[in-house]
Amino acid sequence: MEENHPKLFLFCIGGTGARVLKALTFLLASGADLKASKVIPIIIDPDNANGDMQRTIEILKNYQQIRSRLEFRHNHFFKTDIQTLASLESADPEKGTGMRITDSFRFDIDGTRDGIFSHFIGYDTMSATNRAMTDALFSDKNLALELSVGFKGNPHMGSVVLNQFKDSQEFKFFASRMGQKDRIFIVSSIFGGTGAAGFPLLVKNIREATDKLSNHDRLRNAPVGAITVTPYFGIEPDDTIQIDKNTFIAKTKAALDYYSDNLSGNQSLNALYYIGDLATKDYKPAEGKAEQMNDAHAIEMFSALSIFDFMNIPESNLRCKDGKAESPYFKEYGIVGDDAVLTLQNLGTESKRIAVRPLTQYALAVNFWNNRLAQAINKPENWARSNTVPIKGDFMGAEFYSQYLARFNTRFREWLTEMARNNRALQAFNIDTPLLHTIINGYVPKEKSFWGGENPQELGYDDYNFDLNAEESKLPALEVEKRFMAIFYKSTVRLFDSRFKPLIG
Amino acid sequence: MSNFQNKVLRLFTGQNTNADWHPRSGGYSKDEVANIKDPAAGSRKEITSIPSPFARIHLFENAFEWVANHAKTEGNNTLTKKTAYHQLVSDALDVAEIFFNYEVFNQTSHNLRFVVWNKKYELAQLKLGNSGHRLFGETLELFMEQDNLKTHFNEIDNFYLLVCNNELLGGTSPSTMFFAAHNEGFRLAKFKLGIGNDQFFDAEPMPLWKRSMPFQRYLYGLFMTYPDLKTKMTTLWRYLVANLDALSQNRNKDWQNLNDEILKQADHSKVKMWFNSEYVPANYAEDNTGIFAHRGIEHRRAKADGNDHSNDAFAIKSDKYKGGKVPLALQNGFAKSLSYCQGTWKPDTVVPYFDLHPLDKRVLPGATQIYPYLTVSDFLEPCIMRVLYPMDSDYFYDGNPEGFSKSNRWGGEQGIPGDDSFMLPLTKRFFDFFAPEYLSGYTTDGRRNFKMVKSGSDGVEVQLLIPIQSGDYIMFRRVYQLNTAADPEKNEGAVVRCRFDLGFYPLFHVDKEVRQIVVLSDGDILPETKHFDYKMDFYSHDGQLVQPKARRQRQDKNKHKQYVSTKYAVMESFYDYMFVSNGQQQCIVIPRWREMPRGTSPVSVAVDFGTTNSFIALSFQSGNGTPIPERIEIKENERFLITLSEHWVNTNPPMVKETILRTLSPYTLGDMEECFLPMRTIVTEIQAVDHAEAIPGTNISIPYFFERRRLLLNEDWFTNLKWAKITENAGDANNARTEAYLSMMLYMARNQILVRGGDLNKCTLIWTFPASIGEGATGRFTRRWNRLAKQYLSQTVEVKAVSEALAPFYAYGNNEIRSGQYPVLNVDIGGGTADVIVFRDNHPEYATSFRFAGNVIFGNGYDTANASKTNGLTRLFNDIVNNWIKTPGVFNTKEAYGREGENVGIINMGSADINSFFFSLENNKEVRESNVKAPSFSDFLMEQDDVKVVFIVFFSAIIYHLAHMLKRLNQPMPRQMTFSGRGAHIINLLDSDKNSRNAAGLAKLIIEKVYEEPYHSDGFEILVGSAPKEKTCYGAINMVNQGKMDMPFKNVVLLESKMDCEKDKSAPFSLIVDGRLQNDGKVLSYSDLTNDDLLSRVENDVREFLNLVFEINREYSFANKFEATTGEKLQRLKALMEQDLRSNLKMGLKLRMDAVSPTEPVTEPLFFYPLVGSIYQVLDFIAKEAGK
Repeated sequence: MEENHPKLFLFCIGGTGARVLKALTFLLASGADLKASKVIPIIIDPDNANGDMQRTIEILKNYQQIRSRLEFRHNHFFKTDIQTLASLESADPEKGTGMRITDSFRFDIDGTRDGIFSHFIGYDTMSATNRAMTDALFSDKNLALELSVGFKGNPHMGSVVLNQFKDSQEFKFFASRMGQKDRIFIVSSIFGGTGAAGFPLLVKNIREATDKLSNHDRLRNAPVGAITVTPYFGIEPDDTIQIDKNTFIAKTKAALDYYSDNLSGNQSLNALYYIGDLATKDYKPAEGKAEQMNDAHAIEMFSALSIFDFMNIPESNLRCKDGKAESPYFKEYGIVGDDAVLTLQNLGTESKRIAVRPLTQYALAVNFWNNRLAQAINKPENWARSNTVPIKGDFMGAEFYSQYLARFNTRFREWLTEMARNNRALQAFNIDTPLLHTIINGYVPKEKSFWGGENPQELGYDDYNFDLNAEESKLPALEVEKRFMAIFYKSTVRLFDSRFKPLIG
Repeated sequence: MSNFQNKVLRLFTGQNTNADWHPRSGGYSKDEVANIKDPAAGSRKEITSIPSPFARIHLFENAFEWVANHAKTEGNNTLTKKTAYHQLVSDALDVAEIFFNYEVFNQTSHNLRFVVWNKKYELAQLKLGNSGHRLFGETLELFMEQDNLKTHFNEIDNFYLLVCNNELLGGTSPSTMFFAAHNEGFRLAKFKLGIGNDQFFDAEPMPLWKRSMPFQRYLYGLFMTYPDLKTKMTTLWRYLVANLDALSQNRNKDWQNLNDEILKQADHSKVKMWFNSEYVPANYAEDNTGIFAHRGIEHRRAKADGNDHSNDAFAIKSDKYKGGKVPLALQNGFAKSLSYCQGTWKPDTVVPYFDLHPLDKRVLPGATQIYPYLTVSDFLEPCIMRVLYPMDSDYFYDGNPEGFSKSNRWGGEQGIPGDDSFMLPLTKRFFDFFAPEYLSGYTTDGRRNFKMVKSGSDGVEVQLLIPIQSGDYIMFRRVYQLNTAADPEKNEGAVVRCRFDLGFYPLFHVDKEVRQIVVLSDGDILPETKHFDYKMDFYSHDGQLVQPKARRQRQDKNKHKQYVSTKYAVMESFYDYMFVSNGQQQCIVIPRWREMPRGTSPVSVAVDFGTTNSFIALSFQSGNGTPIPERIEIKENERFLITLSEHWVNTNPPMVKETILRTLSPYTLGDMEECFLPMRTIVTEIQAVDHAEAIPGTNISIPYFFERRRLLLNEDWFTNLKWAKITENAGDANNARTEAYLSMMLYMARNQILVRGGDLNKCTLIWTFPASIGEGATGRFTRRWNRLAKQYLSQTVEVKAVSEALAPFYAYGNNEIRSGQYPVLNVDIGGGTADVIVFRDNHPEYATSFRFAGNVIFGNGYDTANASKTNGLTRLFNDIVNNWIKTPGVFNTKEAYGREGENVGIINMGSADINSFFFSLENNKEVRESNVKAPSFSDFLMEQDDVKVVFIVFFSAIIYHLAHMLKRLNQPMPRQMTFSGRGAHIINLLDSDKNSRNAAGLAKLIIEKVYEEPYHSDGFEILVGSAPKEKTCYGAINMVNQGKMDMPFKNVVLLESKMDCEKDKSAPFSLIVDGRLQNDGKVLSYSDLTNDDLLSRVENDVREFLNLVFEINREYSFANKFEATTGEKLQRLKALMEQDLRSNLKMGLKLRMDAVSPTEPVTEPLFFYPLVGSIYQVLDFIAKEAGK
C-alpha cells in the first residue's frame, strides 16, 4: 500500500453500478493491484431494497471486517483499503468538516424511500403553468411512479430525483475531502433508469460545481473517468412489467445520442469506457426491490477492470481546463476469441496481468479452505501445528473465519458460479477440484515428459501442504488471522509461479 | 476456444483491433449508434431513456431524425409506417395542425386554450418554492443551460402549451417546433380532434405529405421565410426534405405548386411578402400575444372565414333535410368553377372520401372553416353486399344495373345466373336528404339519379348524382371490387358476397295497412362469414324507425344443423325501406310494395280443421248471383310470399331459401302445384320454443311442404292437433300449436281475400266441428275462432260454426239428392270421426257422430304412442316404399320421407302419418313431373284380398249401426247415403266400381237384415264425392249463403246398435236424443258406463254384427263383388275379429274416459269400441301372414 497513490471516489449508480462494485471487491480481495490508496465507493440507488445493491453492501462490509484483521507486508489478499465516505472525516475536530453524514456505502437520497414522483417535486402545489409544463415532460404514469423502486427505465425522472445529490451533505463532504490528485470514477448502465440518469447528472454537477462547494474548482477540473455499460442482458418479455427488453437497445441508442450531444461530445470526461455485448441472456423481469438480483456477469468483471485501467493512467494525461478534459480517453474492451463460453484464456494480456494471478491465488486458497482446511487443522499438518503460532481446532469456529471469511468466500464462489452459467459465460475456475492443476478452466500446466513431449504437471493437496509448510516456516510471529492469511497468500504465490505462470506470459 | 481473433464487446459491428481496455479515437459516433441493430425497431412502444428532464423534447428530435433517416435510406414510402417514431412525428404534426387551424378548432367548442410557460419567470417561481419545486426548477435550469448544442433552449423565452379540457395536448419545442403530450393508448384521440379523415392522435399515424396543403405550405413557407431555422431545427427540416420527395411522387401537382410558389422562389423578399400576406399572426396565446417558434420568429395561422353556406352553389338541394345548416356536397375533381367559400372552387381541391367527424364538426376541404359537407362515404357504404342469386327486381328496387347480364330463368333448372345481384350500398344518412323514390328518378338533363354499372369481371361502380343549389349535380361514385379490402379513405369499395335471403309474407298493403311477416334467412357459414349476425330494421319515408310488433329467431346457424339462421319480424305498420346489416356490412332494401285496392265484395271463409287434413274455402259475393265456393289457390302472379331471390331460383346454400318456404309459405298453392288443399294438419316448431311467446308463422308454423320436402332439422312436428289435449295453462304447448295452425290458415285466407278484392269488413268465418268433439272442446274452439277471426280478418267478422256432418250435404247439387220420401244420410268420414246427418225433405233431422273413421284402418288402434308404426297396412307397404326410396330421382319427396336409420323424415312418424304419406305420393307434383313412377298405395290396397275383408267390416259396421239408428228413430230405409271426408276413400278402395254399386249392394242387404224387411222400390244408392274433403267447406259456405244455418236437428246417440229398449227392458238407456235418454229423460254421463251388463250387451251386439256380415258372403260373394279373400281364410279372419272384443271395448272406453271429464254427457255409441281393436288386430295378423 503506497500512500502516495490517490484516493478513488467510486460512484456506482444503480443496479449495474452495484454489480461492478461487487466484481471489483472480489478482485481486490484476491489481491489485484489497484493504484489507489483508498477506494471510497458511493452507491447511488434510490431503490433501497435492490437485491444487487444489498448483496454488494454485505460483501463490502465483510471485506472491511476481514481486512481490519490483516496485515499486508506478507499478504496481499484484501490489500486495498475500501472505506465509506463518512470514514474520511478526521477524528481531529480541527481538521474535520463538522458534517454529520451516515456511515454507509450507500448514498441515502432524501425523500426517495417512499412517495411518488409528483409528491417529490411538489406537483400539486405548483402554479398551473408549471403544472402544464410538468405534464408536458412527464406522463401521468411517471408522476404516479413510486420512487422506492428506482425509475423503471425512466431516467428523465431520475435526472430530477437524483439531482438532490448536489445539495446533500454527502456531496458537500465528498467535495471537501477531494484531494489534489484524487480521482473520480463513475459506473453506470445506460439502459436502466437510475444509472443512465445519475451519470450525466453527476458529471454535470461535478463539472459545474457551484461556489457553494469547497474545493469546487478542484472538483470542476478533477480527473473523472466513467464506464457506461450498454446492454449485455435482456429481460424476458412480460407485458405486465414496465421494463421491456425489446426497447433496451432503442433506449440505449436514444441515450447514447443524448450523450454524444451533451456529455462525451463536450469533453466532460477524462476517460469514458464503453462496454456491452450482443450475446445476451434474458432474465425474469423484476421491478426493482429485492427481486432485482441477477446472476453476476463477466461484463461486470471486465467493467471492474476499467477502474484498474483508469487508475493506471498517468496523472499528466488526466488534466482538465475550465471543466473540460484536455485529452479525453475513449476506451473499449476486447477479449480474445468471440466465444459464447469464455475462460481466462480469452482475456487479453493486460487483463490477465491484472486479474488472473490474484484470482487464481484466491481460488486456490478458497479451494483448500473449503476442502482440506478442517482436515489439515485436525490432523494436523505441520503448518497448522506450527511452533510459532499454531492454528488450532477452534480457528474455523471463531469469528474471523466463520463469520467473515467463510461468508465472503461463499459470495465469491457464488460470483464465479453465476458468471460461469451466464451468457456469455465466463468459466474461470473449477473451484473445488481436488486435481488442483486443473483449477483454471482451459489451462493445464505442462511439464516436459521423461520420454519427450509434455505431460500435465499434476498438483495435489500434498504439494499444496508442502508449500504451505515451506511458507509457514518463513513467517514471523503474527496474530493467528494475519499469519493464516499470509501462509496462504505466500504459498499460493509459490503454487502459481511454479505451475500457472505461463498463462499470463 | 474457437479462434484467437480479438473481439471488442460492443453493440455495433466494427473493427476488432485489440484485446483489453484500449483507446478508440473518440466517443461513439452518431453513425455507430445508428448502426446498433434494434430488434424492436418498428415497435410502437415509445422510448423513454433520455437522461434529461427534457427527454420528451429530445424524444421528438430522435423521432423526426429516425423517420427522416429511414426515409432516406429505405425510401420515402417508409414515411407511412407505424412505428413509435412515426407515431411521435404524427402526433407532433397533429399538434402543429391544431396550432395552424386553431381558429377552426376553437369554433367547435373543443375547450382549447394556450398556456405560456415563460422560462425566466416560471423557473424563478419554482426556485422560490418548496424543496421539491426548487430541485425541479434547478434541474430544469441545469439542463436548459447545458444542452444547447442541438436543442437550442437558449433560442426561446417561452414554451407554448396547448390544453384541451384541462389535458395537455402538446406544445412548442425549440428543436422540432412542436411536440405532443404523452399519448399512451392513444388517449388523446378521445378528444376527437381532426381534419377530414385524419383523426388526430389515433393509432393511424399520418405523414405530412398526406395532410392538407395549406398546412404544408405554411411549414415550408416558415422555413423559407426564416432560413436560419434549417440549421436550428435540423431534424424537423430533414423531415420536411424527406416529405418533399413523397409529395412529388404522390401529389405531384401540389408539389409543383409548392416549388413554384415557395421553394424555388429565387427572390427571398417575395417569399416573405407572400408569407405575410397569406397568413395572419397566430396571436391566440394569452392576451392576444403571438406564438414564437424561436425568438423573433412568430407563428402565423390560416385566415379563417365562417359563414352560413346554406345557399351556396354547392349546398345540397333537398326538401327533406331538417338538420340545420344545409351541408355542401363536394366532389373530388369537380371541374366547374362554382363559387366556394368566398372564392372559387378549384378542381384540385382534395375532398376526403371519408370524413369521420360529425357533420357539424367538419372542416371544409381546401378551406379552414367548420361547416358541414357531404362526401362519398356519407351516402355510400364502404362495402357492397352481393347476394348469390338473381334478385327479384319486380319486387325490389335493384339500383338500375347497367352492363350486367341479367339472370334468365329459362336457362335450365337454375336458369342462367346473372351477375347483377348487388344490394343497395346506401347509408341511412342518404334518406335524411332523399326519399327512396329519388333513386328511380332522373336528373333535369335526363341522367339516372342512381345506377350501378358493371366494373371489371366482378366489380360494380355505383354512381349517385346529388343536386346542388347551382343546378348542377355532384357525383358520388365508388367502385367496389371483389377480393379487396374496403378503404373508404381511398374510395375503394369492396364487394362482399353474402348468403342471405329475405321473405315477405305478403308484400302488399291496403292503404298502408300492413299485416306482414318478414323473415331474414342467413346462410353465411364460411369461416370468414360465420360470425355475421344479421339484423334488419325498418324505416319510414321520413327516416323514422318503424318498430316491428315482434321479432323472433327460429333457426340458429351456430346451434342448429340446418346451418341457417332465420329471424322474423312481425310488421303491422307500413315502412318504406329496410336496413339490413350483418354486423360488418350493411345495405338498404327498398321493397316495391303492391298496393291492393280496398275490396268491396262480401266474403265467406270456411275452414275445416280436420284430424289428418284441413281445408279452407272462400266465396265472394259479387252482384246478385249465388257465390260459388272456391278453394284457396295462390297463383304465381298473385303470390303472397315474395322473396328477395327470384322465386324460380334456388339460393346458395339452398336452405337459405328453403327455410323461408318451409316455415312461412309456398309461393304457389293449387291443384297442379306442389302444395295444394286439402293440406295436412300439422305444425312444426323450433326445438325449445317458448310456447307462451310463440308467434304463428315465426317460431311455430305450418310446414306446407310436408310429405313433399323434408322438415327442417332441429324442429319438432306435431300432428293430431285436433284431438290434442289442451290445458288452460298459459303457454300450453298444444294450445300454441293449434293456434299457430289455425292462425296461418286464416292468414292465408286474409291474403287471398285481399288479392281477390274481398272486403274484410264484410266477412263471415265458418268453422266446422264434429258432433263428437265434446262440450269443453266446443267452447274452447268457439272462443278461439272468435278471437283469431278478429285478429286475422277484421273486427267486424261474423263467426259461425257448422257441424261437419251437416255441411257436406249442401255441397251436393239439388239434382243429386233425393230426400223427399226417404231419408238421405250424409256420412262424413274423416281421419278421427265419422259424422252423420239424416236428412228428410232437404232438411236435417238427426245427427250422430262416432270416432270410427280413417285412422281405425290407417292408425294404430288403441296404441296411442305417436310414433308407433305397427299398423298392418303400413307394414305391408313399407318395404315397397323403402325400396323405392333407394332408387334415384324424386329427391325432395324421398328426403321428406327419410331413410331407415335416419333421424329425420316421416319415416319416424306414426302409422297414420306414414300411411298418409303413402297416399300422398299419388298427388305428388315432383313425382308427377319426373319420369320416376312412385308406388301407389291405393292400387296396392285394392289388390289385397285379406285387407278387403277389413274394409268390408269397416264399411258394414257403419251401415249396420246407422240402419239400427234409423230403425230406432222410426225412419224408413234410406234412399241415399252420401260419403264425404278423407275416410270415405276406403269405399273407393273397397269397391272398384266408380259409382260404388257393389258397396251399395252390400249396404242394402245389411239394412234389409236390420229392418227385417225387403227394401222399398226406390232402392238405395251411395254417392262418394270425387273430392270428399272439399265437401265440408263448400257445403258449409252454401249453408251460410243459403241461410240454412239455423235449421234444427236432433243429436242422436244409439249407445248399442241392436238393443231395443222397448223390447228389452234391461237395456234402459240405449238411445240418447239431444243429450237425454229417451226412456227417462236423464243425462247419461261417462261415469255411468260401468255396468258390466252393458259391456256384455255391447260385446254381443258386435258378435251379432260380425255373424251377420260374414253370413252375407253366402248370398253376396265378397270374392266376386270386392275381390276379397274367401273360404277358410275368411273364417279365420272372422274368428280373429271376434277375439278380445271385451278387452278392446274396455280399452276404448278407458281412453275416452282419459280424454273427457267423467261428468261429461256421453256423445257416441259404444258399438264401435271393440271393432277399433279388432280391426287393428286383424291387420296385424295379415301383415304377419305376409311376413311383415
